[in-house]
Amino acid sequence: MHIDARKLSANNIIEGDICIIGTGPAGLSIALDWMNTPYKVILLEAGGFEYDDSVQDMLSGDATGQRYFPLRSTRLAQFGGTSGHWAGMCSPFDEIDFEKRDWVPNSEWPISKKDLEPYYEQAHFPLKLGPYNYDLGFWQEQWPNLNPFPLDENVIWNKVWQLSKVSGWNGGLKQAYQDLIIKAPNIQLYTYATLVDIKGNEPVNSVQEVEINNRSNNTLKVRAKHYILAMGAIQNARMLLASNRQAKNGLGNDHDLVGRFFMEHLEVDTAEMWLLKPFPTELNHFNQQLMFWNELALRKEVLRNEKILNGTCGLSPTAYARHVTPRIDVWQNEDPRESVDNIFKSWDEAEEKAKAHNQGAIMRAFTFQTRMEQSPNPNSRITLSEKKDAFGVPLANLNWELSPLDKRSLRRINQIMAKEVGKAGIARVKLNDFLIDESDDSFPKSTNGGWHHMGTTRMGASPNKGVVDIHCQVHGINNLHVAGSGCYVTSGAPNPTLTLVAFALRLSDRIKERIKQES
Amino acid sequence: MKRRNFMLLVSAGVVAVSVPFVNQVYFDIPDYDKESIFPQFLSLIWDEESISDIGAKYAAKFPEESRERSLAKALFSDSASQSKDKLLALTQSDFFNGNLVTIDGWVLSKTEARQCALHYIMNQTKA
Repeated sequence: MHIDARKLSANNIIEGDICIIGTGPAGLSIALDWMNTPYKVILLEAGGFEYDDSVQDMLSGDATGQRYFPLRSTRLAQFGGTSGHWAGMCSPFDEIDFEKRDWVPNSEWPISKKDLEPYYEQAHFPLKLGPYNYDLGFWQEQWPNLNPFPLDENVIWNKVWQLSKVSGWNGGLKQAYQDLIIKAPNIQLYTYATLVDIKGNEPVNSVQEVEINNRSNNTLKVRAKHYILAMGAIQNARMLLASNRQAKNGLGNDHDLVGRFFMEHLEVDTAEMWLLKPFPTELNHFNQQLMFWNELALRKEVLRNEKILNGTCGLSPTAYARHVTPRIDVWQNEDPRESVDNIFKSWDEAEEKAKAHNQGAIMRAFTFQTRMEQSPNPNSRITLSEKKDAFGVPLANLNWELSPLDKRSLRRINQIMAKEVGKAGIARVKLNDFLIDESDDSFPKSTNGGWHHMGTTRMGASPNKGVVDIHCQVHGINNLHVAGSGCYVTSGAPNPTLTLVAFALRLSDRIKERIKQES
Repeated sequence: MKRRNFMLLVSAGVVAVSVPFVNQVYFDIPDYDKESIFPQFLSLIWDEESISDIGAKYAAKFPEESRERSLAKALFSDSASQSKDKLLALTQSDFFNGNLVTIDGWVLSKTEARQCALHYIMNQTKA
């Protein structure tokens, strides 16, 4: 059932078994998982089914530190959330991403990849992915010409991505699930229902109700047995910090961890690989038919020996990549629709310019786009702004801070790739200028993130290690949970959506168990 | 033959015979095949100008290897007649052994970078 909250009068009390706040990939995956159960699900969305500029304003905020995109346009406040922008790239984290690495400060996860494995497979359902198989051999059987470069397999492996059928190109999750959710008898979807406060009992070990504003100047209350924050890593942290009437530093923030350890994926052009001779393969092309993508990755033993972060190199034809303006320069409009238009325009222009190259060695040159995790950094964080949204809730500010380990890792990954392709006798690599000086820890202004927000409500075995526990429940508040990439301790190299949906489904299972036990 | 012409011819002969000898003994430059200095792998992706340019940058970065003598010794010290194949093999083994150098961002084998430098210096000499 769908209810436009704008039509509701003040002091309405909405009641259900669980309340999911946010309809992006995390929130919708949980809602779909609860469909056709005997439980009443309240699903809250701040926006409507279409883009609404006035709703989008609540995502505004200032950024300091490493240059970043305008916060307002990095996400979408509407049904389906930021999946409306999503490129659909899915690949699971590696085992090493969950391991404590003594060379990566604050990298200790309280769970392992095995804990998440069954949910990765389940996550393929809402994201409409192919079989849960990320072995190159499997995909080579489906497509004849996925030949890998003859590289040392003890050093480099081919990491497979699948491309989702519910990406932004196809209308995102909205297109796929709007009707299904509306028709679900046990789900009440409220649009234009913006969370403005989370109220606990005394002494704040349980949430009693949440307050929502319906954009018609009415405040409504939602009461449920369990509450799930699924608004994205920035908004989840913002609302925990802003719900500070009972807890001075915000909910779940007794140890000053909420908002800290904000992470992004570095997605940066780092080098050019010039093949000495043509190498016939379709392995490194976007394969729209197979919904497949591949990048060069380093073995975990290499990462350990080198004491570097995890990262992969995707290949883009240099004749084209040289003309692509860095996304961070193009995506600077506060209006996400304008920023999307600008980025497509820049890609079209690059394609046009690339036509000037039609012969010579450059035709077999490929630019490495390195996709790399950021090391968890407590100073990279979300805080509350002095500026407020239309309902008087402080906006979020971001201080994005990168570290020398990030820079060294980015450089080493590319140096190792250069050595390996040289060893194989297939290519030579030219590092981009910003990686040449080994004493330079800085990042250029053109450094792209992936619009991936992670780590602001990190998981930890105890309250002084993390905001949420191993089940994604906020430490000390027994019915408040966080779904999404904010729970990541480290960010892995792959795009975050598949993993965050796996976490959301794991949380969903946990709450089902809890509700059964509690009733 | 007049005595003067005879003396000139003898002198020229002595010079012709002694230049390689002096090169080898006095300047200590190994005898090598000038054709072999062109870096085979890099010539697949660069033109001669690019090779010279990288060579100049290598010589500037490593001034102790900015003369024919030092470069030829470094490249050809194992044998008086290094073949192209041998240099290719050395280039490969540099990548295996991590004997690499970064010039202008390019991650190169030390051997092929030296070839570039020697190529550059020989071209300078010709000019």
